[in-house]
Amino acid sequence: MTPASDTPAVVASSPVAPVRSAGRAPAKLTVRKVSRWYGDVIALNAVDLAFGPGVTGLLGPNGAGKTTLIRLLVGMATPGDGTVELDGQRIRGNLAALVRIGFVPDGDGLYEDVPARRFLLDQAEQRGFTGAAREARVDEVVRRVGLEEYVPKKMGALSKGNRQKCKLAQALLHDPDVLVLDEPLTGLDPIMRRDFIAVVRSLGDEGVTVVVSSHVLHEVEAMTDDIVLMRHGQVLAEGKVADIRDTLDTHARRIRIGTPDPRALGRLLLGEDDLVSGLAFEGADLVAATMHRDRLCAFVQQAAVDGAAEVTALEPLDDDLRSVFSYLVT
Amino acid sequence: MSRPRPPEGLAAVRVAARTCVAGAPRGRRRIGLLALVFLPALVTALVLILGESGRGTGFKNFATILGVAYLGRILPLAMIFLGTATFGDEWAGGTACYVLGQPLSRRALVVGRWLACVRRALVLVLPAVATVYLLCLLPFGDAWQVYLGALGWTLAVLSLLTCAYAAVFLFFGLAFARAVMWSMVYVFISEMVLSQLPQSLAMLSLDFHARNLLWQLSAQEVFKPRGLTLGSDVIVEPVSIGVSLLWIACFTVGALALSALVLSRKEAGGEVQAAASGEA
Repeated sequence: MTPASDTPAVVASSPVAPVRSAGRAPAKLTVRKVSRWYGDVIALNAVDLAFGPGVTGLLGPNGAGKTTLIRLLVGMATPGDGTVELDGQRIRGNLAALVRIGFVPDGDGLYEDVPARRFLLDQAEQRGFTGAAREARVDEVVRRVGLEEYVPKKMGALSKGNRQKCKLAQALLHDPDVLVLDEPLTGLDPIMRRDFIAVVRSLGDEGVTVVVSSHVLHEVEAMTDDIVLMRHGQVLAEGKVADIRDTLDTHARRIRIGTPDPRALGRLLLGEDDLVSGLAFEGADLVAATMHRDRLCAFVQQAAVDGAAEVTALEPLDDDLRSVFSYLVT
Repeated sequence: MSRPRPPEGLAAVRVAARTCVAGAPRGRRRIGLLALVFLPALVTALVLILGESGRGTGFKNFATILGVAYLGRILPLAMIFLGTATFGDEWAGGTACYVLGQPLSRRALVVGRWLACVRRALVLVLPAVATVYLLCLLPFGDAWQVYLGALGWTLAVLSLLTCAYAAVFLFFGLAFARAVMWSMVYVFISEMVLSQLPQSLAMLSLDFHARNLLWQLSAQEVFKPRGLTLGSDVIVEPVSIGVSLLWIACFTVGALALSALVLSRKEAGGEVQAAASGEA
């Protein structure tokens, strides 16, 4: 994965997570120098990306260009410049590529007067399923997403969560090699959210190339470590969250140190040259800001071993997605 | 699981027609369309109940109602609502991604949906016209049996016209954001004004060819197309049946071809553009 925009993006490790393949040919989505304008507004600016098997989170604030990129990935929009390909084949207008892609759109649009089962049967028929195989496939997918009880109902009568499941079910009918989900967890209650995340993770484990767009960090964090971070139509960073954090060497790391005597430990740390750039007392703990995480950890551990300080906990506070996001986006 | 091959060719057309949900006359739309196409039947029934059987013969009354109400007015109006909604509803209702994501050729999608639209329209319009025919001719004893051939031609020509209108308004539904408005403008200009102008201009309208076919196939003078009357009738020469059929066929095929072209370039949702503009 190599970013090609003018803005330098953070690239960390391989974006393609190793997965437990279920005999599925790995599908690779490639975005090459893709730009897209809406009038004078540039929605995507020379974006270079590649998505392989496993789950990749597409993150960014509203208006970052996520939905435009998603539409290009599923062939529902034309790039103004550049190419979007699935295993080397153009996607837009290519039925052979569309057959391999499942898409869960962001919008709430569904056929309100149509029972969910009828909708799924129609979708299956369009995908080439006929007769008993069509019924069996719909039943199988409905079971997988946990929609059995609700499929006889008209979609207009379904809750937001069940509508989302219905959208996921239609995307899974043809056992896609690529699954693209645009803000899939919006409006779901915590239990449905947990179930939905479990399904997405299991698909990633099965070797499906899953791209999930969201602007809610903890949702993405629950699904994957691999992220692409976007802003203003450009890729800011891509790779594993921790690896991206490691590359952000302009931001001091915050480490929480649990100790019964934070002041004494604080004095010890300040006595070392250039070890900490700041100290704070948060509750009973000491929070140290440092540019040298490994050196600090080694020092604290040595202090504990030597009996110079009693240490009960040692943990980084900003190795998570939220911190990475805030450092890069805000 | 082995993934089946999506349908191709005629099978794809059949699937597209069978699974077309958008634009189906349901709820208020169904009530409105039923009221529209059965309005002449209702008026005729009221006239019968009030004891009036019209000034002319039963068939002349039927032909007058057909010419004044159905051709150029009710049929195009009904087709505007059915045709534009066949694809337009998908973009208005946010379900366009389920259309564009289908692994069916765009041509098959357009033809399949056009067939679905034609089927829906015929189910509405033909019974209404047959009802008017019966209401007009039943008071005249066995006359309804005499004109059955003419009724058959009438229904056949209306079916042809329905096919053409369905294709035209399906295209409008795909190509324009305010499809209903533009369709009404088209009907007013082409089917109401143009069809009443002297022959060389009238020939550009579908309405003219429908009347020409009815006139020649049923051999009933009452169906003869009339030019604009400015003191006296403009002389209208019959155009051959083949020319009229070819004209209607060209309209239909041309509109379907344009629809397939527009659909292949169409993108899902305008909200992305709106969001991008908002961001700017």
